[in-house]
Amino acid sequence: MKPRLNLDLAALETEFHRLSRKLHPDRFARAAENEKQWSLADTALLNDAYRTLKDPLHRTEYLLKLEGADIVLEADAELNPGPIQAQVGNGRKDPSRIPADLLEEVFDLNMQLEEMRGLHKRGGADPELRSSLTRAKKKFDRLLGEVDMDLRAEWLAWDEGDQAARLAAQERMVALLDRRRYLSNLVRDVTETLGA
Amino acid sequence: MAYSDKVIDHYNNPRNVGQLDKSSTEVGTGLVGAPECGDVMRLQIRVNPETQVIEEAKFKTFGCGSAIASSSLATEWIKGRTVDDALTVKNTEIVKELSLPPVKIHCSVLAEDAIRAAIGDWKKKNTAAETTEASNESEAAPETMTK
Repeated sequence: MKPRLNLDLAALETEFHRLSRKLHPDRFARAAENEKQWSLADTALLNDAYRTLKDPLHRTEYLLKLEGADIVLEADAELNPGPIQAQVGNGRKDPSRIPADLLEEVFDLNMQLEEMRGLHKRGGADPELRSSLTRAKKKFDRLLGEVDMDLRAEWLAWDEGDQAARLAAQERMVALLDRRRYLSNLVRDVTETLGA
Repeated sequence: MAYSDKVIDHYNNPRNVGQLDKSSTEVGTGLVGAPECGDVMRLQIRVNPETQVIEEAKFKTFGCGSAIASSSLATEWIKGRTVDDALTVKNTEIVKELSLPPVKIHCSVLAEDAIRAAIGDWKKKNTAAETTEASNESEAAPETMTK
């Protein structure tokens, strides 16, 4: 079977249910011990596979990893929040990967977040700061949406392209996932700070 | 993962936190970020135009303890050195000084990039200023960014 990034989600779900029923441990209640074990193991594997394929980000990350890109899966990153090496091949990271204007905004946003947290600690409030952060959150949410659109375009390039086009798409997807992680961390921080 | 004592020391008492006037021609600003973990680091230098010595270095970093310690250490090391001398600071030296574990090496890379970016910005400002005066151009030739 040829791997693809654009999936028919309804077909995926139907297939998942079909295999689920086939492998379900209840059907092996009176089977031999080793068959029970297989049923359990295969069901766990099937559930993992379905979860990975269903989620567009997990699916993309998984495929990039299969293709040899050195990235840590989102699921692992959640368990082990640390720096993540995300790069095709080795060598140094290209520091210019985050555009300068975005960096400026990220820096300013962090300054505002720090100010906001300080205010919260002292029990103060600053409506202007709050609305500025709310605006920033909207903007970064929008940027996230744009990254997702770009990712979808790369899926198509990967699914339909030849070997060279695929490699190029993979590299762009790794960069997009980096940017996405960066943006989603920011949105999370802003949401937390606004909610506090 | 445990931080080394030196990292904790820099984290608790960061040296040279602050801001310099970005618009001054004597000031170079480097703003760098690591997409993997969302760290952003701003490092600024104020250079004496006569001696080319970095008289002041300030930083502000949003990130983990290692990123803060790396940039704090970087400002300490480049203060009092000439810009060309400061360019010789290597991330591996920061790794060694702070005993950074492999997963935190990128923090030291970020600090080295920040030094280079700040010096690059300062050189750019001053090359532009010098070409209008048409003097001393060779010295300001940007041989920075090569790694």
